Amino acid sequence: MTAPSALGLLPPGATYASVTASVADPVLREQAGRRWWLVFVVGLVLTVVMLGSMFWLFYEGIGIFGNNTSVVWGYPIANYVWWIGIGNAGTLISCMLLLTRQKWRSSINRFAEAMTLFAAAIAGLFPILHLGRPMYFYWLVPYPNTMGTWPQWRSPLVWDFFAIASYIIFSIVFWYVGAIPDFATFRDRAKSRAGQLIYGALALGWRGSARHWVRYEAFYHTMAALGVPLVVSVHSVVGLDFAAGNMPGWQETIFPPYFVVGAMFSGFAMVVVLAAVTRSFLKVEALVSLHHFEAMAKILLAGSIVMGLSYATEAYQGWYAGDDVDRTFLAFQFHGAYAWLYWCQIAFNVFVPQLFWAPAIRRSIPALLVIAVLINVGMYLERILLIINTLSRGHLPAEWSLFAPTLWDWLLLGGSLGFFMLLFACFLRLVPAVSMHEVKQLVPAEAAA
Amino acid sequence: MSILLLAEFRDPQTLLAAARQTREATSFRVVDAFTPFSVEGMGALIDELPPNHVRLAILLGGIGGALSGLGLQLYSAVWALPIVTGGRPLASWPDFFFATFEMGILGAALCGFVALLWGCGLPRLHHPLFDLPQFERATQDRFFLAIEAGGADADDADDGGARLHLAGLGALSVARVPA
Repeated sequence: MTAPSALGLLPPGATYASVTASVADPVLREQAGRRWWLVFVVGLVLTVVMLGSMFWLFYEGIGIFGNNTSVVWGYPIANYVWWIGIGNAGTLISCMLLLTRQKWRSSINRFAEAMTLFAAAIAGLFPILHLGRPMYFYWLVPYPNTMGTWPQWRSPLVWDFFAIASYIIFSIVFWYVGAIPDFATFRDRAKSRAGQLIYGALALGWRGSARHWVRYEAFYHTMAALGVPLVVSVHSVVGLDFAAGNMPGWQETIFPPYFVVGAMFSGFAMVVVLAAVTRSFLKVEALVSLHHFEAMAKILLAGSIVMGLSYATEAYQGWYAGDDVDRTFLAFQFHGAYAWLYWCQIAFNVFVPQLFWAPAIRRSIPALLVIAVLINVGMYLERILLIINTLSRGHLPAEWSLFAPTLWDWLLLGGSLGFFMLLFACFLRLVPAVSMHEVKQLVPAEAAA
Repeated sequence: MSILLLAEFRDPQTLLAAARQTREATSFRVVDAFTPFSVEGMGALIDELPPNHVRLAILLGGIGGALSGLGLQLYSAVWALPIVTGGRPLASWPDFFFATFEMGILGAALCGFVALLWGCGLPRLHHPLFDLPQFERATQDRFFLAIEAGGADADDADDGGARLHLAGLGALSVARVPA
């Protein structure tokens, strides 16, 4: 085995004790800094905005959105697809990198999985908020009821419900089991009685016994192997929500894989943003190093090329099929009212990431951060344009109409971002944000004393 | 009654070497090891490690989840609410595969989680080992080996040379585990 420190994954001279200290001490021994409080307060304010918008939505009804009788899906569904895309990436990244034995995974997998949990939970809200009668969302659940009805099993919307519900539960279990040994470390290192009790309860009495580890490894690796097809199925079903509809720009066989790659792409961009944040808040610069950022930049570069290929294939198929409605749709996409947004999407998702061919850009955190944010904006544009381009130019010209978001559309989107910030800020202050027990496996033997 | 000794080591290599030495050269039983992370090859050096059923539980949970998902759909679509839509057969099984697959994965994950806890004997919030002050480093930076020493009449004074043996293998400390 080559010494991993030679790859720059760990700081020179790292020991088991220094890894523990660099992850645990910012949480257990140090006060939150001013920047953390800033993120927390901004997140809290925006969360209140989100709750207020939700209250107004439930009180007033879905007329407060910009949706109209042609463009019946607007921001809520775009928000859903965007958030679930980000939500898919954490588990996908964690499982795939584990199965392919990528050693750099262990520094980022914990917060990538936390990102998944928060994003998937937020995503799950939007289809419900988008319902005219949200109090009846539980009708999707198959249960014996007095109406004698059952879900329509042939509908992608029902598959979606099963996919998201299974995925969220699966991700919670996977994340929690991976964190149990680290909760035990926190339990044993905590100075306060409350910390010992809370982390002690979360650790379930973990002792790191050989009997524990043998079972842990069996469970964790098998779950990773199950996680990859699960994630692929979840976002494929999101793609089928569109592809099963008989609309130009939607009814395409490329959708399931194209959605999965898009999810991985936007999720990795979000992981880059969160890695930069985690690194500066927890002072774990040593554990999340430039080598990690460079590896993620390479994956973003590969993702941008696949996205470019998908966009080109989509356009080519629409043109080559030769159907009037498809060609009208394409002309609208390239020259219509939202064309400037479409070209921004292409620029952000396909062309800007090409800068990652330059090694200096891959290793510059400010550049990475800017490009990652642009990718997330570009992916949001893709999700919203997917909806409004198609619905604005459907089969019946008499039904053509444009969409403009209202204040409430923006507040709910911004509020959900703030809620995510709030959850992530709490995560950084309460939970081991880097998987200590996995990072310690990289500590070379000679330096371990 | 035999006694249980807990030896503390600096790194996983010393721990593995000590476990191997103890198995090969002495009659002491290697009862368990406690490490901050999974040490490859440690499981094989423990005497009488109970069989690991986690993978089997995941398989059975997966099959059970998938069958109940498929059964639920067939029951509701064919028997409880038989509605023909678009001329498709009532039991349109290709459409039923999505929920079947998701339920299978969910069953596998939950069953595996229960098997993991069951096999580890968790949750068990307190354990006699936690009374040893040095044991709190077992989750941080030290590696522990538990061996069983002596015959029926072993006690602190007469451990059959186990303490000497462990010290010779590089143990930083050796302590008796309170029963």
